Amino acid sequence: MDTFFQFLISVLSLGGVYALLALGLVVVFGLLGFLNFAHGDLMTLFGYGLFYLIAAGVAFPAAAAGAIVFAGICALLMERIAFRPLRGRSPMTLLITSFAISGALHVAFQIFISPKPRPIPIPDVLSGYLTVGGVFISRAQIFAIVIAVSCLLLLNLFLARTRMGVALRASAADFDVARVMGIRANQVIALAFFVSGVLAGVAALLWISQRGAVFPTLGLTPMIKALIAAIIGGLANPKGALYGGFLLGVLEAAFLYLLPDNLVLFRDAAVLLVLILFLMFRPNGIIAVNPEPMR
Amino acid sequence: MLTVHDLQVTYGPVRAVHGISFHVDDGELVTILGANGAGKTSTLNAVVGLVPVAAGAITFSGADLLAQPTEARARLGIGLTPEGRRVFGPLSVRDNLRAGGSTLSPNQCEARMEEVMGRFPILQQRAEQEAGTLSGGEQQMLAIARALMPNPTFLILDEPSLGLAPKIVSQVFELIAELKSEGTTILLVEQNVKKSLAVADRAYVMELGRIVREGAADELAADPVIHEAYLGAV
Repeated sequence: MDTFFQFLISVLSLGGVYALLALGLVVVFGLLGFLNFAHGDLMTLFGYGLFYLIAAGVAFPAAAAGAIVFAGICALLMERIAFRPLRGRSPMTLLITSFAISGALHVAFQIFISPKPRPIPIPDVLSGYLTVGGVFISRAQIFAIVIAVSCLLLLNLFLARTRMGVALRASAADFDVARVMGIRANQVIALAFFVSGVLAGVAALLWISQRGAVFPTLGLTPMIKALIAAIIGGLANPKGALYGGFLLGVLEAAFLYLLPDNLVLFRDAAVLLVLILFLMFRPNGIIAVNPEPMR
Repeated sequence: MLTVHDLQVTYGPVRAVHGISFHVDDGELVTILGANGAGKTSTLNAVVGLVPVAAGAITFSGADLLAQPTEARARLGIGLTPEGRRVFGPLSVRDNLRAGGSTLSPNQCEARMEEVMGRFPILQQRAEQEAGTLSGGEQQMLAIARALMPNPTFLILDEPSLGLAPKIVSQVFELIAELKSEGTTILLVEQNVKKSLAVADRAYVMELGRIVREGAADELAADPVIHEAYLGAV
């Protein structure tokens, strides 16, 4: 029972972060039909935003909130400067542009900030362990679960209950028809990027809370995890991203518990094997829908 | 109300519409007839802004439509029921209608939704159901209801009877006649020539991207050439 509880905590804390990341990718993919490979760099931008705000004497909670908004604004700028001029081009062009943005940001971080990791002081309340009924749970894991679940619930409320949320979902379902209905393309796409940036910021907060540093390539590994989660769940549907994120959490936690100690090293390889199986037998993911992204 | 002059639509090297001209006056129901590939949908898509126009002019109530982005044309009072219905499948019926009323204020949108649902009781019953799970006929009703949400002055219907059972087709045409009698100006593209000519004031016949015949609907219905080409099999 204790092992199961521990497993559940691991799944929820890992899966929540992956779901947030995958959702950020899917929100943009649903509209424009391409994967924004610079999504991981929004996490890095959050990290540097947090680092500089804390260095300026801002308290951690306010700095975290400010850095999340900063990540959202960076995503907006990314859309405005790099992707909007290419509106109407093929998704492949947008994909390659996102690689270029990512590469340019890595170099910029190295030149203008530092190639070395910058430490981020994590408040005591987020470090250490709690014991619940004989089960050790890290405070960072509890924080990750609470924040990820709250964020997912808020996002769900936003998408379901607000006019902009309905416009975003309608546009993701059929962008052309949404525009014919009077839904403004620029507004919806900008909103999608902002939401994607905020989700990357929240995910980065949880990621950095367990690592305590920011460095130029911080976003690379989580970006790969997000990609795996989004492919497993289905790229065209937010529900798919959610399922994919938590399934990836289940897989990682399960491999951690099930693999013998000398094979735990191959956990990521085992996850990639599952990804290959999905690509072979269910290439459109758990929730397969055929999107009609804007061309 | 709508004037299309010398419209050309091309897809790469392929010309789908070859310099056609037509007009729809206030309160009229005009139908464009023609077989698959005649260029009917390309013409409608050019009017709403979903395909680029290679040459020509489109004016709506005096405004140059080609100078307006797609979403601004809805705000001028143009509603579209697209070919294949294209309801927002993952959204509920209610949210489809909300999306249709995106040019209205929140209060106006909710009030208008009640009005529209009152007209389509089946949508009221299915309000919380995902649109993608509705039957073809229900989806068509939803597509029309969604287009009616902003109370458009000009409604474009692209193949509204396509793929529907005969009983539902009759219901759709009854609805079209009702909308016309209420004063909505309608541009109807259909392959169901007999029913279209029965409700229309005027008609244009397109073949291979050109308008080959035009005239009053009852005259065209009685025209032996049209009768032989389009009505013989209906």
